[in-house]
Amino acid sequence: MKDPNHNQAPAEIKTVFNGLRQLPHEAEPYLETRVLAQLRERRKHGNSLVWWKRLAIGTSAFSALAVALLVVWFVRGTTYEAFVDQPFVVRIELKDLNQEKIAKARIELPPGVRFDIEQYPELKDAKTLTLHWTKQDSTGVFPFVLSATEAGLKTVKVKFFNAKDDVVAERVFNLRLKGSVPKPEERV
Amino acid sequence: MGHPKLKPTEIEAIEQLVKKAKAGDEPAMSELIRRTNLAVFRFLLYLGGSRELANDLAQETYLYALENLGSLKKEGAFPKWLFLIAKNKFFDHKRSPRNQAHASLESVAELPGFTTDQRELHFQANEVLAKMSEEDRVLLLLVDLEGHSYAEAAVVVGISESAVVSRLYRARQKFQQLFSKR
Repeated sequence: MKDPNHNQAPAEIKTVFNGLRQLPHEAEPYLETRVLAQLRERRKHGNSLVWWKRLAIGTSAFSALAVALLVVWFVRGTTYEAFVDQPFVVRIELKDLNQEKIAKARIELPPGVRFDIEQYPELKDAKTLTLHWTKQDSTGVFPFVLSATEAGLKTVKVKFFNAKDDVVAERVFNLRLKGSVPKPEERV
Repeated sequence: MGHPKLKPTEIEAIEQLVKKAKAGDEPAMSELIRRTNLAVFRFLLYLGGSRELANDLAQETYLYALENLGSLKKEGAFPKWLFLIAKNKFFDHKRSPRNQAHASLESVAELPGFTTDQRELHFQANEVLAKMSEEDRVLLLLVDLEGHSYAEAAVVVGISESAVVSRLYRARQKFQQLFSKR
């Protein structure tokens, strides 16, 4: 693979790209789990998607790419910012959870925050959503799409239950919802 | 595959893993993804300027690769093949009419663990790359970011090696010019 022409890159280019290569980027955790789960799923059901993919992707938000992305790492007390009327994806990292024990997950929304799922418009009025969990769903990331109808500080809870309906884990995060989407130059 | 100048032993290991994966061995498939996903993700991240898009396209890349492993004749070419698929997935995505108005939504909040200088470098490089043509970006990223040889880049891009040399020369000049203007 060694190429003698490699050294022709000017020093500045080398410095920049060496710097980029050393940045602590991380590919999505559990990518392999998700890919393998989808491969199995495709083998079983053609190209049908697992439930969370339907939830996350089957939205106008994803279709238009007009969606903000919040990665929730579960530091208690952390507040994430989003904007009223702009759907946003919450992706919950599950790597610290013992997923073997989980039978279902329930998302609990505060007033002024709603589910934004194109395929299930009836969920817009729901304040809670319970999802049954299967081992195949355990991809390490739990994404769902929300939108807000009013500004302010809101708290969203996700509870994980075992087969006996006991809460085995709970994740809470705060959203600071602002009234309008900023211009691109204000987002930096 | 942090950097693709793979040692012969690494190439042999990948060949073995690809052979097993072709036979349906899931642990081998997982290992192939783990060994290569950072480079594929990084390539897609700087190609499209969006972390979300890079994650989606990386997933599509691996799904395609693993479903079509049987068509890969030389197992050792798996890493290069991945970049070819990733590049094609990116251009397929761009060709779709609904994806024409792509906007990067990446924010500082999505760069946990980065120092201020690292964030600055990341955003500046992204800004400069976004001003370049996608074809130039692909070449710069393949050769100068991911360390592919000109010959390998020629295969991935589908042009001659001499065309890679001349295009890359111009792309580097442009990158340098834009980067120093900031």
